[in-house]
Amino acid sequence: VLTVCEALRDIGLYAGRDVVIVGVSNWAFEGSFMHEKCEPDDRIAILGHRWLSAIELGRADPQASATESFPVDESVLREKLTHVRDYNSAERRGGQPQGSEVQGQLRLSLSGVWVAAYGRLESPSKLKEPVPPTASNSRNTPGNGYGANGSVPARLRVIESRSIPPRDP
Amino acid sequence: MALLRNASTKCLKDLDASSAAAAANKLKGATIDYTYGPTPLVGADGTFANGAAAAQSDSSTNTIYLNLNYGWLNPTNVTFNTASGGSYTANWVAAVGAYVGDPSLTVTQYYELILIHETGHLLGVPQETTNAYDTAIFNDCIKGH
Repeated sequence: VLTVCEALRDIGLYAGRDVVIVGVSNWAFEGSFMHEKCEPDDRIAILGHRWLSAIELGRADPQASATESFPVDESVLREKLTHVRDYNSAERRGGQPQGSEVQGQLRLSLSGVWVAAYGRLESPSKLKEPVPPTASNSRNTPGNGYGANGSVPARLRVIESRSIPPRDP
Repeated sequence: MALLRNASTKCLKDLDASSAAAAANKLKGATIDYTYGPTPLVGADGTFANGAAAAQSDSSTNTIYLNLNYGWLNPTNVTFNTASGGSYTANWVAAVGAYVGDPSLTVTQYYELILIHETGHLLGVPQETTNAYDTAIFNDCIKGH
């Protein structure tokens, strides 16, 4: 069981392996992403470059989803989340995630959802960072990661995920 | 397009645009590719489970991809698949409105939000991981503009 920061700091070790990652998930037009602020600039060093400290949540092969069950108890996931600073403050605040909408029995959760996601982590073996335009070079060159402009360094092919909502104080 | 041509300084900063003309020309020159992509799947906890994208962009080809199965054709009445094998429909515009902090978001503003959002990515904005980018676009580029 890893936090987003732990998974990205040792992406060479965990890429290609089945892992459980805990953290906050946010919806975007491009998909869903787990994020954790690992360093003050909201980036993380990978192979000498600064990358977004985020992981895209993709879909695993449906066959894998059907045959594998979640490998870790909730108590373990909650213990791991105590290492994530924002989760502790969310527990102190309590309440529902923002940006949700009740539709009958189902509540869409777009933003700030605490989850544990189980699946296979993937990342290009040679990450190439995006190069945004500058004053001297107007060309926008995407990286080879995930999400917009290939700017996300890793993707989790999710077999199963579950919400771990902060407990009310 | 008019929103970009008359964009405020704050809006241009949100989009990493050097000028209003640069932003408008980026969208004007983009190819819009409409596809019937994956239908969004919502888990029992209300989170999106299959990685479906409502919209994407490819800055190397200056293309914006719009998923017709994810709120483009009739965004106030979008069908979502559920993890239990069923489906349900929702007012997706209202959900996105709540996400950007204004539940009264209109359908026109929803379309503007998507296109300006993807134009920003074509201009070099990296993937956002919170609602801050969309909230800024809505407030600085769309609402009251």
